[in-house]
This record gives sequence, C-alpha cells and structure tokens, in this order.
Amino acid sequence: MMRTFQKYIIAAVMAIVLMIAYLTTYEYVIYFHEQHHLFRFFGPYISETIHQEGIFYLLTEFIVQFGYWTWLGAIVWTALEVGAYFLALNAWRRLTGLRDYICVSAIPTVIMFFATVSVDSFPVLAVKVFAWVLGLWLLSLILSRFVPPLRRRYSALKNAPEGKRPWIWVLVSFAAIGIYAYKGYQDSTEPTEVTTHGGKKRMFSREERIKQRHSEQVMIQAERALKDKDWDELYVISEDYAREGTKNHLMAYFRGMALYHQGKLLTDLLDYPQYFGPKSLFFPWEADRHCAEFGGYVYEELGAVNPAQHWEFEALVGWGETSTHLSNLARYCIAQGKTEQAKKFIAPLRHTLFYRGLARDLDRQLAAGKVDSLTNCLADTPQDPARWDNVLNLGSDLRYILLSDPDNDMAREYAVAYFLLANNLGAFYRTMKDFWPMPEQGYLPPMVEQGLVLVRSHIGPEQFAADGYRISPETEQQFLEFVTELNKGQKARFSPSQQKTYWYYVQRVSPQGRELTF
Amino acid sequence: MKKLIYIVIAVALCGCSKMVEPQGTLQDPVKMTPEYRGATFPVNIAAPSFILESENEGITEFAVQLGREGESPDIQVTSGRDGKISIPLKKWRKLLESAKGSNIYLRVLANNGGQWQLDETVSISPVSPNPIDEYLCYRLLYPGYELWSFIGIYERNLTNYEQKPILENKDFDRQCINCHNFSAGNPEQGLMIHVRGPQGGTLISRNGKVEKINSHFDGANHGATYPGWSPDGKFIAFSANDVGQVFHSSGTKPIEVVDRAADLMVYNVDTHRAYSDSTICGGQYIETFPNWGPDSRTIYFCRANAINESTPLDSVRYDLCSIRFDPQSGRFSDLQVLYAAAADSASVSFPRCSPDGRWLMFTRSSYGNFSIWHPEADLCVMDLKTKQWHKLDEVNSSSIESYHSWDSSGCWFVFSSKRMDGLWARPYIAAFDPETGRASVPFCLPQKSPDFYQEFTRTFNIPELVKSPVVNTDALLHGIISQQPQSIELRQQ
Repeated sequence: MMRTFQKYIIAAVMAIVLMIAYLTTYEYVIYFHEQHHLFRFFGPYISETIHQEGIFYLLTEFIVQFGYWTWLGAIVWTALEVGAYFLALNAWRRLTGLRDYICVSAIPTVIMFFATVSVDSFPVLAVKVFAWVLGLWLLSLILSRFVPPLRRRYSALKNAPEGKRPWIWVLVSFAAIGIYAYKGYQDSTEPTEVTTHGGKKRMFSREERIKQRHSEQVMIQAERALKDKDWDELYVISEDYAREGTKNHLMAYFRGMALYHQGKLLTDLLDYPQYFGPKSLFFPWEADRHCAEFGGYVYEELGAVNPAQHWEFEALVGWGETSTHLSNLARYCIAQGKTEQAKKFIAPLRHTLFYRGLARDLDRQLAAGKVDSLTNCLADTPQDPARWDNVLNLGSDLRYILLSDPDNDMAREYAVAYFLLANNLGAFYRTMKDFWPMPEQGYLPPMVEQGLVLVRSHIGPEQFAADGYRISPETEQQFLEFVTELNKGQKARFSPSQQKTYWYYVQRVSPQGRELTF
Repeated sequence: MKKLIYIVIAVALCGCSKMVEPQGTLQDPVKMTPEYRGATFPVNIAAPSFILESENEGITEFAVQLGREGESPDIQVTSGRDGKISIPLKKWRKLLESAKGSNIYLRVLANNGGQWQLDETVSISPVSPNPIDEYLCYRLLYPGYELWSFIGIYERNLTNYEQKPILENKDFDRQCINCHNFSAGNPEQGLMIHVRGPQGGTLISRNGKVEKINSHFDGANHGATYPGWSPDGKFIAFSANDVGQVFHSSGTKPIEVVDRAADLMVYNVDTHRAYSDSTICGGQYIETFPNWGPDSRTIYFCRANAINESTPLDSVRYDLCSIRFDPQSGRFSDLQVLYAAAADSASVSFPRCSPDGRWLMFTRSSYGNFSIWHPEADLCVMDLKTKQWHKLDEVNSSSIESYHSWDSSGCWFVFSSKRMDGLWARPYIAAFDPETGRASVPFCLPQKSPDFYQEFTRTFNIPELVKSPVVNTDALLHGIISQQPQSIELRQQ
C-alpha cells in the first residue's frame, strides 16, 4: 500500500510547497511576467511570435497569461510541475524497470520551479523541460510496449512485492528532493555578472543577489499599487522601503507620488535623504526601457497627457504590446480625441482571455469621448508657437502646466519641491510668487518655509515681507538651532529632526552640492 | 463514400452564392477600410481585402461585386455583419488581366432588412496596362522615438501576399537598422543599409558582395545618415546629420525631429573615396535628403539656414535645391535653388526624381524636415522643365503624406500616409502620368487579412519599390556580424 501511495504523497507535498512558494515569496514573479506579456488568440500574433521567438516562447506566453489572477497562475505552474514529476517517474520506471528511490524524477520539477521564480528571465526553460519530459514519457510508452526486455522489466516492477519499511524510502525521497532544491537555490543565487540600468556590468555576490530580489519584490508590489492607484498601499510600501535606507530611484519616484496623494509631499519628503535630488520626482528621458515603463505616470497624474503618451510609446517599444501599455495608450488617445488610434490600441485586448472586459470598458470611454479620472490639462493650450517639453528638467514643464492650469495642485507642489531639490531657489521663489501666495491664515508647509528662510536671507527681510510671505516661529527657532549646530563645523551632530530639514539636504545630501542658485 | 460525395457537393454548392441584385440604394454610405473604390490598379497587383462598416443597424450582411465596366459581375464575395471581405486572388488576377487598359467596378451592396441595396459610392476603377515593380521593401517597427526593439526590413511581393525578411534585428542582438536604399530600384546593382550598435556600420551590397564601411567618415562632422544611391550604381550621396528630437508639450503633433547641423557628401563605392565641397558642407546651411537625377550627375537635396540654440524650431524651413557633380574630379558646381520654399512659409523634404528625369516629387510641410510627424504634410511634384510645381491633390489627404519612391517605369509611385489613423504609416500606391504630372486615386498596399490594418501596430517605414527580390540576405547578415567596418576618408574639395 505504502509503495502505491508513495508517489502521491510526494506529489501532494510537492504541490503544497509549490503553491505556498508561488502564492507568497514568488507571487510577484507571476504578476511581473503576466504584466509584461500578452497572449492573444489571434493568428497574426501567433505566427509573428513563433517567427520572432519560437514555439516555446509562445507556449510560455500562453501559460503566463493565467497569472492575471496570481492564484490561477500558481495553480497552473504547480499542475505542470507536479505533472512533470508523474510523467518523469512513469518514464523512469518504464525505461529502467527500477524504483526511483532517490527521486530522480523530481529533478525536472525542481528545474521548472527555479526557472519560474526569476523576473530576469522569462520561464521558457520551464516549458521546454515539461515538453522534454512529455516527449520522454511518450517515448517510454512506445519502448516499454515494443521492446521485449523493457516490457518484461516494467511488468516485473509492477508485480514486485512491497519491500520492508517502505516509509523509509518516502523519507529518502524527500531528502533527495531537498538536496535537489538546495542545489537549485544555490545555482539561482550564485554570483553573476549583471548589467545595471546604466549599461555597466558588475559582479553581484550571492548576498547582493538575494538583496536585489527583495528590492525587485518591493518595486513590483509598488508598481502594482501604482497601477491600481492604491495610494495608501503605495505610501506604506514606499515608506517601508525608504526606512531600509536603500538608494533606489524608482522607489523614490513612487514615494513622491504616494506622498503627494497623501497630502504629505512638502512635509514628509525629506524624512529620508533625497539622494537623487530633483530626479527623485521624475525620470529624465534617457532612452532606457526600464525608465520608460514608469516615466509617464507622474505626467498622467499631473494631467499632462502628451508627455505621458511619449513615455508610454517608449514603453510599448521597449516592452511590446502589454495590457498596461495598450490600455494606457488607448486612454491617452481618447483624452486627446484621437479615436482611430485609440481603437487600434484597444483591438488587441479583445483577443485576450482576461482583458476583454477592459477592452469593453475602454470602448465605453471611447464612445463617451472622455477617460475616467484623467484630465488633459493642456488640451486648450495654444499650439502656435510650438512649445517643446524639457525632457531632462521637470521644472520648466511644471511651470508650463501651471501657466495653463494654475489650479493644478500637484503641479504646484511638485514644482516647489523640484526647484528646492535642484537648489534653484530663484525658480522656487518665482514659482511661489506666481502660483502660491501666502495664505491669510496659518503658514506654509515646513519644506516650503525652510526654503523661504534661505530666500529671505538672500533678498532681505524687507523685500520678503513686501512679497507677503511669513515664516512660522517654530521654523525660525529650528533654523537658529540648525545654524548653531552647523557652525560647529566637523563637530556638528544634527538631531534626527534636523536631518529632515531642507537646510540639512542642502548641506549634506544634495547631489548638486551646497551651491544655491538665485 | 456516397455520403461523402453528397457532403462535398452540398458544401461546394453552399460556397457558390448566387449573384445578388440590388433593389434600391442605401441611404447611409458604407465605409470601406482601407478604401479601394475608384483607385487605379496595376494589372499585376494582389487582390485587396477590406472591412465594410455601416451605422445602419438594419444591415445583416454585405456583398461586394466586381466586374468589367458595363458587364455583369465576375466576382461576388459576401460577408456577415462584420463586413470582412477578401477578394479571391485567382479570380482577381483573371479580372484584371481581362480588363487591362479599361475599367472595372467594385460595388458594395448591403442586405438591409432582407433587401439588397446598393451603396452609391463611386466604384469605377481603371486597370492600368502598366505593371508595377513587383517588390516593395520597407522597414517595420513600432512608432516609438528613441528606443527600439523589433526592427526588420522586409520585402513584399506585390503580386501576392508573400513577405520575406531581408534583415531582422532579432538575428543580431536587436541592434537598429535603418535607411535602406537601392540603386535605380535594383537590389542587385546596389543596396545600402545602416546598422547602429556595437556591430554598427553601413552595409553596401553590390552584385551579391557585401562590404561594411564606417558610417562616420574621417573628416566628416557627423555620421552618414540619409542616403541616395546614383542610378548608375557608382555613387552614394549621403547627408551627414546631427539629429535631435524634441517633443510637443501639447496639441496633436507628438514629436519634431530636427537637424542641429547637416552636410552633404558623395561616396564612390568603387574607389572608397568620399567627396564634399564648401557649397554643401559648412556652418552656413543645413543640407539633407540627397537624391540623384537619372543622369547620375545631378543631386537634388533640401537646404535650410543653419540654426543655433535660440532658433525657434518651428521656423526652420528647407528649400529645394540641386547641384551638379562631376564623377571624374569629384567636384560640385552649379548650385541652384529650385523652389525657395522658406520664402513661401513652407518646407521641403524627400525630393525624388522620376526615372525619366522630368518630375521631382517632394513632401511639403509647414516647417522642419521630418514630415512624417506633420499632419499638414502633402506630396507635390515639380516639372523640372519649367520648374513649376503643383500639389498632388489626387493622393493627398487631410493627414500625413510623406516618404515616397518611384517604380522603375515612372508610371507608379508608393508613398507613406497616415490617413487611416494619424499614427501608423501605411504604404499607398498610385499611378502617375509622366505626360501630365498628375496622379490617380491611390490605394493601400493589399493584405490577405481584411482586418490587417486594424490590428497591426507597427509602422511601415521607407517604402521602396524594387524590380527584383533581394537574394543575398545571408551575406547581409554575415556582413553585420563578421565584418569590421572599413574607414573612409572624406576629401573636401
């Protein structure tokens, strides 16, 4: 009895472990691949994909689409991997006429699993391994039927009596699988040369690779929250990450948006060092497909549809026709009144298993001529003379948006933050005077006040007062304490609250150095 | 067995639908995408496929009938409400052959509430006895800006639907390939392709042999960019451009591609020498888009005043110019401004001289030179005898018409148009009358699938008509992967 059920016990444990891994540690990988591929039931797409990438790539795209619901993706991968175990076991028995005491037939499953848990490589290998095992099993079916020695041995194996203490072999099998899994993990984290976003190659140690995976996981979770416009979740994720102290441009960019939507941009931005300076608020246009994927989101939030679309086109080129890029482009086209273009971007979604509903929703928005929760704040801007985006400097674009849409709160807060982080107090103060007069009651946000203190020292208190700005007594006191500490020179020990000020940013963090521009 | 025969006969009978007779006319016009009615067809073109659409919800099916003018229809194709129509290729060929030099009709009928009604859109199409060059080469890519991924240069047989890759960047690490150009529409005589990336260079293929040269000539300010191969196959004129991109902050135009500087130079493919001259190379002007006359002595090009950082980019306008080139001495002379477009508040790009040397087709837009992003861009043609030019309104639309090339007879040309949606360039073909300088109603490159243009999200770039297929594709790929680029020295005269 034990021998009969041994394979089912192993398979059941395997399935449980795989499901737990896919639904917890590696759930983000299933999501990532699904978001970067789009299987379509459409002849030209199928023939083109086979031509460009091969049949296994197409089959992998087919499987990956089930990750739309990550639990379903987990079930599909688990089923394939457990299925591979059964096929391999059966093939082993038919071809060797031996029991698989050390669970060699679990090796394909282990290979498949580790091929599916990295965002760096598309899991084509897993599908290839499955196909190979399937082919081997079919071959074993034929050989064990038509080759007499194999047929005899397989028949003898089936009729062999159960040995003593069969549960020992179950334990041996689990121990063997554990060894295979350990080897797989070691291989998947072994030091390797990685091309960084700047195009440079660098050797990553095992520890760095593990840390990098953690960062990937957090970034993908943040990306998910951003796409869902779940600002609370994005805020939590980005704050947790910032607390870890790792420098990461993408997470800094996400955090900026999350803070704005929490109403905390100009109060909490400097809670953690802004190592990327003004670039923490946006991505400069540098023909990088990783940046292209996210660069447009801040413009969408700002209501600047044209630059959002430019980024999204680059993302489409860099990553292909994914559901996100197609639907974003369709939305931008609808917002710009480009209905024929919008139709083209919606069309591929209709051929998918899971995005037909999205296509119908976009059709509805197309018919209505407007996009849910998206405004094109530059729609009525004069076209003559032409005005060009400054793709390396968000500040000038923010001012342009404010000129067209002075009530755009996000543009105003981002402009102020941008110019402060750029050490450009002149542009900061101009923006304040043009778009953010002093309120009659209360005071301005702390980061703004801290910038204004420096402006006042440059233009003089009379002019500053004439412009109508005031500084709160708390900020005045804080500044005095900061200057006192600063004057200690090398012996200065800034308190945690002082390290969260704009003055500290200028003195210690700003990538532009201490130089301020007026 | 008998049962099987009955089934086959029954299926065959179902397939042979009876010719429907119109009982009245439709109130609302039926939209055809792409539009083929009224177009002039070359006798050897593949059959079109298209989609019919109507806002009339009472329509349950469509029928398309084709035949020789004044005669009963030879072909009928029906479809359901989805309006997908594919004309059978064999019947189409037979029809065109029989109607060579006369007209055919392509009429649309719709079953409206059980009654077949005729769409009144003009449906008479001339069939030209002049065949078009059999192959069309183009680059397919996503309409992006700086990044690229899948890029391929393909060759389409116009008499059927076969498309073959000439080069696809999946075979060489996704590097960029661009600016394919032919000598007199003959790939055997001359084919040139730029490769950008670690294995970059300019591939030059002649008589099956491929060599790779360094695109940046020694002594040139910038790398070789836009090419024009002389009809005698001995010279390639290049513009060497410092290209930049800027993005419109608002409005319908997405991007402006600008030349910060550009010069002209001529490369002798036999001697590996390159020539230039102060009249076409220097800081005073920006010269671009060279193209040769049929004598291989005259170069047509576009020229604008040099710009600096403060020049408003929407004020940069290019004139249409020509210059003589002496192949013996490598000297340039007799620079002429053929059309002072800038003074006309217009700008010229892509001059292409007809094979007979009489007509010069160009794109005219309001500013700049990269007209594929300018909705106002239209095709024009100049009579080089009189230097008079006119717009080719027969082929222009309210959207973009831009890059164009002649077939070897001068009776046909292909051009890029974004008229379908404003974003993706599609190749359109039109007949040209070398006597009058007028064109006929154009048609979009026929595809096998009716919904091809509704689903295909890559743009057709640089459509070039060629007489024969490119046969040495393996040698081209080998040239990219294995050859080191040869340095070329530029001689300033």
